[in-house]
Amino acid sequence: MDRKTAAVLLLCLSAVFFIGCIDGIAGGGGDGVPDSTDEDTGDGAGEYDDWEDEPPEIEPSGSEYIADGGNRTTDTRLTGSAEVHFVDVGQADFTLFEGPEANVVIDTADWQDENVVPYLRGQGIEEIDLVLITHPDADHIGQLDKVMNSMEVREVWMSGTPHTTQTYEDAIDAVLGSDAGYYEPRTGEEFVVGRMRIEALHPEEGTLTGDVQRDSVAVRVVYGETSFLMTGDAGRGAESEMTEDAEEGRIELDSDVYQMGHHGSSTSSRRSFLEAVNPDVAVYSAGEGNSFGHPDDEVIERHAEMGIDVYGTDEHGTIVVEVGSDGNYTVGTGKDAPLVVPFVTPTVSVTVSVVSAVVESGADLGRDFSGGVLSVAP
Amino acid sequence: MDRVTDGVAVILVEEDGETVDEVHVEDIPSGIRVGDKVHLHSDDGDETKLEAVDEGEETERRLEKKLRRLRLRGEKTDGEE
Repeated sequence: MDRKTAAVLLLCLSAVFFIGCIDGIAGGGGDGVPDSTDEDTGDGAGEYDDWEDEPPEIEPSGSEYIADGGNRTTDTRLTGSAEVHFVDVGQADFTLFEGPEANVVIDTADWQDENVVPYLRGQGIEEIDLVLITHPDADHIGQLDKVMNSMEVREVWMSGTPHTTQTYEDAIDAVLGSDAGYYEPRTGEEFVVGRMRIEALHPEEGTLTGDVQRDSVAVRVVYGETSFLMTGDAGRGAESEMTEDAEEGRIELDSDVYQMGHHGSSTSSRRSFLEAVNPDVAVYSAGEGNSFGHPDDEVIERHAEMGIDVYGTDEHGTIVVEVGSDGNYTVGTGKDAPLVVPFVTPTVSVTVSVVSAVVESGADLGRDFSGGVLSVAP
Repeated sequence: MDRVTDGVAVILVEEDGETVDEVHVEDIPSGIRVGDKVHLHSDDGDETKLEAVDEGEETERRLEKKLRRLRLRGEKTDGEE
């Protein structure tokens, strides 16, 4: 080997070494935040000795499942922007937390429709990191089978309370027929998916009642400085448990955006719970003219009294909250409509004749005056 | 019966292992609970009534078995089995 060849070889080796260093920084070591991939080096190092042409694929030492801590960075600082879509799917729930770095779906709308997969594809999404089904009612788990059969889903979470409907069985069969992981989150657990943190708020370990709505999974999803609270169809009992847990410091309920429990039903969003959540914005998902009376007038009134801006998919269509890395967020709506406010009984002006006064005083008959405005029910 | 929402029962009509329709019923007989299998009857006044049938337990067992299989995928489970 002459000097020139040796110099070129040395230069190449240096370049390889330098690239290796850069790769190490990009893998999570440079931001000062622990990265679970750092732990892989011990297990995989020996396999590099047998390299010939291509480096072998190395299995991560730990599970890649989100529920097991994942194989991702724990840095949840938001870089770029993220979007949360409360999709208008009629009398059902379907919410998409889109990017950056991960997509999470909470609930998959109603069994009678086919609008979840088309919506996701419309957003350019073919892979979903996590599908969380708050509970197995057919207006929440409705299209999970279609999602599982059409897209790559990394992981599915449910409450663990089974149902007996064919819709539920179709969903379970579809998950069993896929490669997706499965998990049942419990109060106090925290997970990181891409740049979002998911805090499980309900149900508590060992407290499943068998009532699918009562056992709803509730989570707080945090993007940078902005937080979203999702409670499925959790009612008073579950809200009380969460409020108590928050008072004891086990969980955090305070959130910027609250998806109103049970489509804005009177069964949910009690005042004490709302005070603990203390949201600026509330969103409900309900179908126009639905037969359940959602959202409930008193619930809307309660939000208005607390100065919370209320949006509904029946009034506003799909509602998209765009979250910026600066902690600010904006609310966009598919339909142009004013904020949802309590139903106010129409007021009607009437002229009141002071008949009694006339009778008593014997004053001029026929003297009328506009005595004021009365609230008159229609 | 899939669910009861604000006093309205939502019944998923299933035929040959497929869900084919959804019916909403306001008059829920006592003793019928969410998850029960029911028969739907229409009387002369075209009002739909529910009648419990004894098929729920078998379905329940089958689905709990499937759920257990699903839980085996995860390293962590609720520990309530």
